[in-house]
Amino acid sequence: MTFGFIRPGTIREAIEFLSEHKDNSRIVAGATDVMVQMRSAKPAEEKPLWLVDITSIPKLSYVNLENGIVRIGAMTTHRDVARSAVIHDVAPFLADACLSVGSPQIRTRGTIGGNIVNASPAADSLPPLTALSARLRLISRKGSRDVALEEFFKGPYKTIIEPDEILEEVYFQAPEQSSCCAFLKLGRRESLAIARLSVAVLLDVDESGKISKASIAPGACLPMPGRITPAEEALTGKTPDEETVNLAAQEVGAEMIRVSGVRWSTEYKKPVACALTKRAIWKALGVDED
Amino acid sequence: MKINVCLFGPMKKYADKDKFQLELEEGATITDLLDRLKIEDRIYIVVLINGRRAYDEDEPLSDGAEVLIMAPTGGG
Amino acid sequence: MTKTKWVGMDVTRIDAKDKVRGALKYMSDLSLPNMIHGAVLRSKHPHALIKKIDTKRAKELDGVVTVLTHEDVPGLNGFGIAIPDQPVLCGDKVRYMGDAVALVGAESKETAERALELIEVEYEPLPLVSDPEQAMLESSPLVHETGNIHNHVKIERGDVEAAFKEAHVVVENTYSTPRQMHAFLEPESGVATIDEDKNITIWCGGQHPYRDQLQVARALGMNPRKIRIVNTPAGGAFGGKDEITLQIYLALLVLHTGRPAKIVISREESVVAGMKRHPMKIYMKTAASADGTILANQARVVSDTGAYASLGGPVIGFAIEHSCGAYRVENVDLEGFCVYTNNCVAGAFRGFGANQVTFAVETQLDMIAEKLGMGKLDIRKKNALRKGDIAALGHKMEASVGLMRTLEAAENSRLWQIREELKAKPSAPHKKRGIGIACAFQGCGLGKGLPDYGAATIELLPNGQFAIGISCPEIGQGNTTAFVQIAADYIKCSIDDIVMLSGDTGHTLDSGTSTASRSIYTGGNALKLAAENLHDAISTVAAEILSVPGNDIDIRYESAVSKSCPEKTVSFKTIAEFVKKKGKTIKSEGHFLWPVSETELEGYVGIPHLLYSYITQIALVEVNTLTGETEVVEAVSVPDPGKAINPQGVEGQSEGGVVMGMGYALTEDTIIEEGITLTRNFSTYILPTSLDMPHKIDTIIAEELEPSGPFGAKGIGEAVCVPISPAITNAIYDAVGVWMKQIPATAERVYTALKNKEVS
Repeated sequence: MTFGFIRPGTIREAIEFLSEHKDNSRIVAGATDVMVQMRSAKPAEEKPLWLVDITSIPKLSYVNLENGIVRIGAMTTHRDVARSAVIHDVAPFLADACLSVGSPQIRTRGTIGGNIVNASPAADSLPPLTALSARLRLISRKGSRDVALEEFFKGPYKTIIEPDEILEEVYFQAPEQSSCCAFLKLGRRESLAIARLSVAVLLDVDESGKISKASIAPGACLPMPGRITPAEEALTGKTPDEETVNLAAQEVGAEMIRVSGVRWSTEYKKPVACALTKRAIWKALGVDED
Repeated sequence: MKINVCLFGPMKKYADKDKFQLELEEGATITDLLDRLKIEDRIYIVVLINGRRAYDEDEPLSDGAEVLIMAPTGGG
Repeated sequence: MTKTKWVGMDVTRIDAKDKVRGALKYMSDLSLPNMIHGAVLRSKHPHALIKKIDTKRAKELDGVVTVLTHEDVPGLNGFGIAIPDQPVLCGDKVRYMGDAVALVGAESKETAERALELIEVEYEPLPLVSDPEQAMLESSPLVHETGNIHNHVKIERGDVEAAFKEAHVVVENTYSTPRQMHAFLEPESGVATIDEDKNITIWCGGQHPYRDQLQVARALGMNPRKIRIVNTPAGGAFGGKDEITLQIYLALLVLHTGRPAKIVISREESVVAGMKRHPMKIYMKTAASADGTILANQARVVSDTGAYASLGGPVIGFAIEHSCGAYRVENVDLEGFCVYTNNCVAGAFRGFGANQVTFAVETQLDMIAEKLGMGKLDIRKKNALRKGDIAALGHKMEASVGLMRTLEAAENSRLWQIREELKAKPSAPHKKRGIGIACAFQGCGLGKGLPDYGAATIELLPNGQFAIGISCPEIGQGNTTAFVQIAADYIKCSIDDIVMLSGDTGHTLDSGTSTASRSIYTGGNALKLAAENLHDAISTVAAEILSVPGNDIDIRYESAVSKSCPEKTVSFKTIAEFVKKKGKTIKSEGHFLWPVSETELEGYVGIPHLLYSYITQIALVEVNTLTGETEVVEAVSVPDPGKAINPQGVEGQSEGGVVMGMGYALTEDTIIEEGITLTRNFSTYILPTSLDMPHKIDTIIAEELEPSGPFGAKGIGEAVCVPISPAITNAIYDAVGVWMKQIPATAERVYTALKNKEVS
C-alpha cells in the first residue's frame, strides 16, 4: 500500500495540511490503531493516503491544572497520563485506566487523544473521562469548537470530528477534594488485554456520609460511552449500604440490555457487569476486595 | 551375494513379505536393489544400510548387508 | 554411572549471548543480494472448485518478476509428511482458507502483495465440512475423494463390559479440547538461492532438514542431493514447523527466476495457513474398584485434522496409546478417528495427541477419587505404571519408568505439603482456592513400525577443537547446548573446544527430527558411537607420536596417555597439529538406531513406544466467583527426563511447558466458524503474558536414569506441557466444585458452570 507521511511540527502546520488534504488524510496519534488498520487495508491505487503524524507537536502534550480545570493535551501518552501527579491527585481512576492500556510499549506510543478519537467501545480512558463529564476542544483552520465528550460519539468507531479537524485537548472540572473514584477492568488476561467490561465510578460523599453526587460510566458494554443515570440516582442522597450498592449495580446491567439488547454474551456480561460495578463502588468508597 | 531386506510403512506394498533375503550380483548397488523390487518412488525414500543412512543410490551393497527401506516420517 | 565434567551442569546456552543481544540472525533477518520477494495467494473460500486462474494482470504489474501456479510445479504437486495430499499450488480444488493458489515473486514485498490482488481466480463454492463428527457421516460432502476418515485406530484388550458391571464406580463423560496455536514468535519465513548448476540452498526454520530436502525434491522432481536445507535457527517451532511451510515456494521462486528469493509471512497468514493442535472430542468411560484400582477404560476420540493429513494419522494413534494415562489398565476399548474437514490443518504439536486425552483421563481419575473419597495423589500412586508392568496397549514397560519417583517428589514438595494452609488464604472473599494434581507419560521417539535412526559426526579441527554435527535443528529448546555437553564428556574435552553444527544438510548427516522428545536421546547416542570411533583414530595417531603400540593408549581429559608409561602423554592439540602437518584429517561418524518395543500392533505404525518420559504436575489456582476468572497462583512441575543433561535447560522447558499448558487449559483457542478463522492474531488469541504466569513455578527434577540413553537421558521437551492442563482444571473443581469438561476453561465457561451448579 502506498502512502505519504508527514510530521508537522506545529498545530498550525497540521491544520493547514489537513485543510488541503482532508479527503485523503489520516491522523496518526501514536499509531497503535492506525498501524493495525493499515495492515488489513486494501491497496488504494488512485490516491495515496497521507498519514499526518501529530505526535511530535510539542504543544499537544501536557497535563495541567489551572483554576480548577484539568487540561490534557491530546498527544499526551497513556504512560504520561498514568504518571501525572495532577491526575493522581485529582482523578486517580483515570491514571488506573491509562495504566491498564495494552503493554508498556503501547502505553508509550498510544495517546489519550488517539484513544478518544478512535472511539472504540472498549477504549480504556473513556469510562473515567465520561464519569468526569470531560469536554473536548477541536481545532481546524476555520477555528476551534468545544463539545461535551458524550456528544462527540455517534456510534462504535464513529465521531463527529471533521476530516480537517484535530482534537487539541480534553479537559474537565477537577472533582471536589471530598470525592472518591475507582476504575475496574475485566480482560481476558492480565496485560495486553482489550476490556471485555470496565467501569468507572466517581462519587462525592458529604459530611453525613451520604453520597451527594455519583457518576457511573461503564465501558465495553455500550456502543458508545455514556453514564448510567438510573444507577447514579440509586446512589444519590443515600448512605451506601449493601442494598443501595446492589441496586445501583443492577441498573448498570439493565441499561446494558436496554441499549445493546440481549446477545450471546449477555448471560455472562450482565451479572459480571453488576459484580464489577458493585466492586468498583465499594473500591471508590475505600473497600477494596482485590 | 545375499542381502537382507526389510520394508517399512508404505514400502511394504512392494513385496509379499516385510522381511526377506535377496540374492544380488556381486557389486550390485542400491539402484539395482530398488529396480529389483520395482520400487518406483526414488525420491521420497530412505534407505538404511546396516543402520547407517545411505545418501547415494549408486552406493554398492556388500554381502550380508541389512537394508531397511522406508519412507520418511515423523511422529511423537 | 560414568563420571561427568559437563553433563548435569547448568551450562549457559551456547546461543544465549547472541540471542539476548539480538545479534543472532533468524531466517526472517536474512537478506541476499538481488533477491526477489515472494508472496502466496491463499484461497478465498474454505471449500470450492477452481474454475479459472488468470495471472495476466498480476504479471503486467511493474516490478513483478514471476507469477506461478500449479502448472509451474515441475514435480509432484503435493506435500505432506505421511501422504502428499496437500497441493503445493491448488489447481482444481481448495479445501481450506490457507490453501495456496498462486505464488508471486517481485522486486519488493509491497509489489508482491499488490500483485496478489490482481490475480483473478474463479471459484465454485462447495458445501462446507466444518464439524468432524458430521464429516464422518455417509451423507457428508467429501473433503478428499478417498473419504473423510483419514485414519481409524481401534485397540481392544480384556473385557470392558464385564469390568463396568463388576466395578464399584463408573464415570462417563465427554470432553472437548481447543485448536491450540503454536504461536512461535517467528512466523514462517526463509530465503533461498540457486547456482549455475541449479543447486538450491534453502534457509527456512524447520524440524527435519533431511525430510524437508526430500519433500522439496519430490515437488521439484529433482535429485535431493542438489538441494541443501538449513533449518537452524528457528524462532520457535513446537511442532508447527515440522511439516513443510515455505520451503517449496522458496525453491519454486529461485528455480523459475534464477534469483535469490525471500518470503516472510504475516502473523495473520501464519494463523490461517499454518498448523494447529488437533481439536478432539473425547468420550470416555472409566471404571474402578472400591480401592481405586482402575479396572477398565473405554474411549472414543474424534480428531479434527482439517483439510490435510500431515501427521494427523500418527497423532490419533499416539492419542489412543496415551488415552489411559500412565496407569495399568487391563481392560480397554479404545477407538480413534482422524477426520478431514475444511478447517485449518492440524498436525504435530508438543505433546502430539497426549494433551487432549490426558486432560480427559486425568479428570476421570479425579472424579473417581472424589466418588471413593480417596486422595487425588493416592489414586495415582495406586495405579501408576512401574517397570515391568503391562501398559494399556498390552505392551511391557521394559525401559526406565520414573512415574512413582515423580509422584513421591510431588508429594514432598512444599506446595503439596502446605496446600491446605495456602488454600485457606485466598486474596479476596469472593475468590476461592483449590489444588489439582495430574500425571502423564510421553512416548519418546517415533515408536514401533518405522526405524528411528540418527547420525552424528565429530571432526578434530586443526586448532585442536572438535566440530560436532547433528542435523536435529535448534528450535529454541536448547538441544545444541546439551549436545555440546554430551560431546565434551564423551570426547573428554572442554565445552569451549566444541564447535556445534546443527540442522544443515550441507554440514551434518541425517539425525532425524527435532520432534517426539527424541533429539537428545538420538543425537547423544550417535555422539557416543562417534566419540568411540574418534578415540580409535586419535589412539592410532597418539601411538605413532608416542612410539607405543596402538593398544597401549588411554584417552584422558584433553590428551592421550600411554597405559604402560603414563608419563608419555600427548594433547589433543598436538595430535591435531601432527595430523594437519601430514595433510590428513580425523573425522568420525556415529550411527544410532532406536531400540523398539517387542509388542507389535498389527496394522499400526508409530505405536507403541519403548521409552517414555514421565511427569507429575501440581497447580494451585484461585477462582474469582464473581467473574469466573482463574488465576494459577503456583505450580510444581516434577519431570523425569532420565538424566538431566542441563538442569537449567530442563527447568526452562518445564516453566515454558507449564505456561503453554496453562494457556491451553484457560484461554487459548483458534476459533474457526464456517471455515473462517476468527482469531487471526495475538490480540484475540489469548496467550498468557508474563503477568499471567504463576507467581512461582517450582521444578523438581526426578531423574530415573535410562540405561540405553546418553548418560541416562531420555527426552522431556513435550511432557512438560501435558498434565498441567488437567491439574489446573482439577484445581478449579477443588476450588469451586465444578468439573470443566471443555477447555479452555475461560472465565465465561467457569462462570456458567458455577451458575448451573447453583441452579441444580
